[in-house]
Amino acid sequence: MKDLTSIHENELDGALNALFLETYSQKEDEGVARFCLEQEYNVTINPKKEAAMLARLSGKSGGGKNILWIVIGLVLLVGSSLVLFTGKEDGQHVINTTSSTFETTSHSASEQTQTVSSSTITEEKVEEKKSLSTSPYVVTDKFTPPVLDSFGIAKAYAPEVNNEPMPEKEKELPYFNKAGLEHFAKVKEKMLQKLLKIDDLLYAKTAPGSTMYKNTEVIVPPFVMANFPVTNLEYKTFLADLVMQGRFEDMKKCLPNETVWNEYGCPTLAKNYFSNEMYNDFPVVNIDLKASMMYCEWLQIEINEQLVTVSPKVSKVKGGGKRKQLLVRLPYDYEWIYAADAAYALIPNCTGYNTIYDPSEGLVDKGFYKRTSQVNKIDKSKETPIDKLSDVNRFGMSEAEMIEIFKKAINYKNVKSKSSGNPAEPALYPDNVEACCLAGHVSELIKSKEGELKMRGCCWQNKDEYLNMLSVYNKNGASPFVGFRVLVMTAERGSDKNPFW
Amino acid sequence: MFDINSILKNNDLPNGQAKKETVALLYQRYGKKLYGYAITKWKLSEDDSWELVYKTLYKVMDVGHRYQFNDESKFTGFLFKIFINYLRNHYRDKKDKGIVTTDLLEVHEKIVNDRVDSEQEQVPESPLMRCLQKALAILEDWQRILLLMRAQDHSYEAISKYVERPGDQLKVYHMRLKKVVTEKTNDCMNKNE
Repeated sequence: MKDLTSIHENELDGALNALFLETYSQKEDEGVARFCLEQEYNVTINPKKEAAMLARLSGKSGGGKNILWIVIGLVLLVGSSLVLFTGKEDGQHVINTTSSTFETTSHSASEQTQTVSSSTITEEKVEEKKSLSTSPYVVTDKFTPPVLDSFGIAKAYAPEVNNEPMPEKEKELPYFNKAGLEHFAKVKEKMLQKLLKIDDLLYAKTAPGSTMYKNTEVIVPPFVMANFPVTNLEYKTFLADLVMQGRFEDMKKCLPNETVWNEYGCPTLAKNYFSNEMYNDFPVVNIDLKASMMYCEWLQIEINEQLVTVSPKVSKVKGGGKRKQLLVRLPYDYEWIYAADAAYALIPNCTGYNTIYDPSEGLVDKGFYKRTSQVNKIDKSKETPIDKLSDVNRFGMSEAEMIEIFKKAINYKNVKSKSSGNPAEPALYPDNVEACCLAGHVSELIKSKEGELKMRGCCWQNKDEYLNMLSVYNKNGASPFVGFRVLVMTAERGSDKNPFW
Repeated sequence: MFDINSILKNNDLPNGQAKKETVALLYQRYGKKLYGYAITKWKLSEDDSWELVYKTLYKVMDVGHRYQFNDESKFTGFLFKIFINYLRNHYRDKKDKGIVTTDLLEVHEKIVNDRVDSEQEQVPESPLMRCLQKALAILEDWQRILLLMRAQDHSYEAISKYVERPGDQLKVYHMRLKKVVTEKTNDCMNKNE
């Protein structure tokens, strides 16, 4: 067991920084202030963000009051949207008004959308939206039927048909045409940039430490774990890249088995969950283990190439002159336990069956439950309506009920991001994925310390329900309730000051 | 001469132009530096850094006119304290959300949490922080500054100008000091002082 009454020299800098914050947030020190403000910091300033910040400051007369009004406005807007969407027949008129809002953000260009949407969308606007569209996939003459017809709200994204003659091979592909591949190349670039920078919206750095796993202390090296499971958009980008590399067979092997939705009576989701852009930010599901591992391998190769080509300086280990190599893989269960134990990751605070707490597995002790509960308790006060969706168990729900939950997240996301552009636009990646990933909460593929495939999941009504899902998973090698996320770490330990990259 | 008092008082006038000038001046002189400091030394994201700079300058403009600063140096200390306060709160908030951007506070807080009976609501002061503070207190000012600034990854060259010691010797001093402070901190924690 790690000696908790001592500190290692390598940990001293972290503790000194913590002490610095505690000390100088209470005490004025002109010398330290002058020192910190006299240094030259080489940073690139985004002029738009700079201007936005200055504009906020210049118009500060309302100050906190303005913020309060904005918050109240947002709450009312979100609240009214939720109320409107939960009403069905008697709210038809109002629903249409709201639907136009939704379509404005989702940029459906289909004729059907124009008919259903209210008159607030002029033809000009529709034209404008068409020109904004960078929709990449579905090479078909028929446009995708509306996804949420029964609600009269959201229409499926129906991209324009690319009339350019295409090579035979491209025509055979299920999702990608020439424009699509170009589009996904841009998304890939954004994805890699975000990972390279360890964007804190998408990834969390986890400091090295130790945790108790099966009653034994396990040392955990530093790692970066995605905050969310791999999304449909990220997975499509991976598939598109396989196509770009000419790996058609691999691409076909990795396609999600969307027919598994039918096992749960969800034909609409089987048709739309992966292919429709409105679900881009939801976790990709129905992926088998091999495919998820191929995704990790692909990301590993791509990110290492990016390290060399984009940031050759960053990728050198201090002093050694040797490049850091990154490993991308599924998380191990003890890494999940450590992340939750040290409050780097939150376990949804739901009742029911949670694989981690299963006494027959003997993974964690009672102290773990107490500590993670404490973290959840703190977090509860900041819970949003969407956070609550993370605790919802969708297993056993009807398709309409599931779609309704997804729809709430999409609307919440759209209100939050106030996106006026095409939601599929690479520049918008990631576009408030949190709401969609919470509402689309899935169990996840992980590995045990011994390398055995496992699943980490919670919010199951009981163990039988979980085992029921597992049997369908084992039969099909995939499930609509199972996704995966990636963990990234350096192949060799870097400097203590920067254990990442 | 840079008269911060009249600039801050101007800001309080009901005049849009004066306010804009104050914003521009404060931003150029301090905001940019704070932004760079947050990004490079505390590894904050762009958006978080802008938010902290905004909050700091807003606060300074909001309350600064109530104070009389003898010189700009006093004002810099005042502004920096506000910034560090927001920075500390930022890390605490991030931790609460379970989205941790750096590994700064977690190690020692984890140690505290592990020691605390989970039934207790109040977390006592961290023994590590208390002992570290004691260990630093016996050092000379320049030694303390060397440790604190180096922990933020400021270069030896930059620190040497400030502590008035030759830069090429600082690395050796730093290594020795780290060892000493670690030992004294551990002694103190073991004795449960």
